Amino acid sequence: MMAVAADEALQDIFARAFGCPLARLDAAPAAMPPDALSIRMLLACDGVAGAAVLSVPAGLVALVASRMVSGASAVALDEAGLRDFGGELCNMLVGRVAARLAADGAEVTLGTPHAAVATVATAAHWVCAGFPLDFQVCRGSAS
Amino acid sequence: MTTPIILSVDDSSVLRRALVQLFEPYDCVVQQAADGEAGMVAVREHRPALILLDYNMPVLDGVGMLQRLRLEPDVARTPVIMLTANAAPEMLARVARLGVRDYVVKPFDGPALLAKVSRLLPLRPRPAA
Repeated sequence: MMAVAADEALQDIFARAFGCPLARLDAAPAAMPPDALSIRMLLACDGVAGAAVLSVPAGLVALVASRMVSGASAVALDEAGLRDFGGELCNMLVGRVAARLAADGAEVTLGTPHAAVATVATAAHWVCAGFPLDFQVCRGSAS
Repeated sequence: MTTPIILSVDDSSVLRRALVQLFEPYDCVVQQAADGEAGMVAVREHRPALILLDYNMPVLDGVGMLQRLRLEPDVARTPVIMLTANAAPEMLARVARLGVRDYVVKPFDGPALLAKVSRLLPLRPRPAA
């Protein structure tokens, strides 16, 4: 249920609301660029703690923001602005997931988004004893 | 006739900027606050005709600000439209009990929000400068 809700949220926000089509990748993802934001938000469901994490390049955050504010009011987003709107994007996605879970009877608690412009220092994908393993170490400024 | 003040309370500066842009053609002033605490200060200072209030904010969230607003007799009746990313029925019922007049799911649709605002506040074209 959670995965379906997350997929629907991505389609609803990026494709329908902001006109940015997206497609699911079956292969290993391309590495995030160094300016990518990592935004984390508490999403507890039926008393079980959890979190949503959105990793998104700064360029996509700026593109979506430009579809919300245009014309004379549009200004280039600085790092704080990127964190700001990246957090808002995460909030919109998690809000959709929460609404879907709540409609199915779950008790949902949300936190506020915390964004960081994170340089991924280690981004390799590993296999360990036949199991996939990812371990990312990031550095950057957090909101 | 005085120019009506709309107060936007939202932790996202981009969202607030989008709201300022949305109301630019109309004869109103959009004041801004980044959280519920700052929102209450702005309410006392500006006495807005309408508040556009974000639900999920740090420091003091939308529900917390609403509860405080309803306790201050001078401003308790200020109409509020809630802007929320989470349209779960339980959340909507909670804010309705606090007298929220309407709600809009983020990201807001400009014409739809203008239609909801105009039900609470007459929006006249901004006079030519």
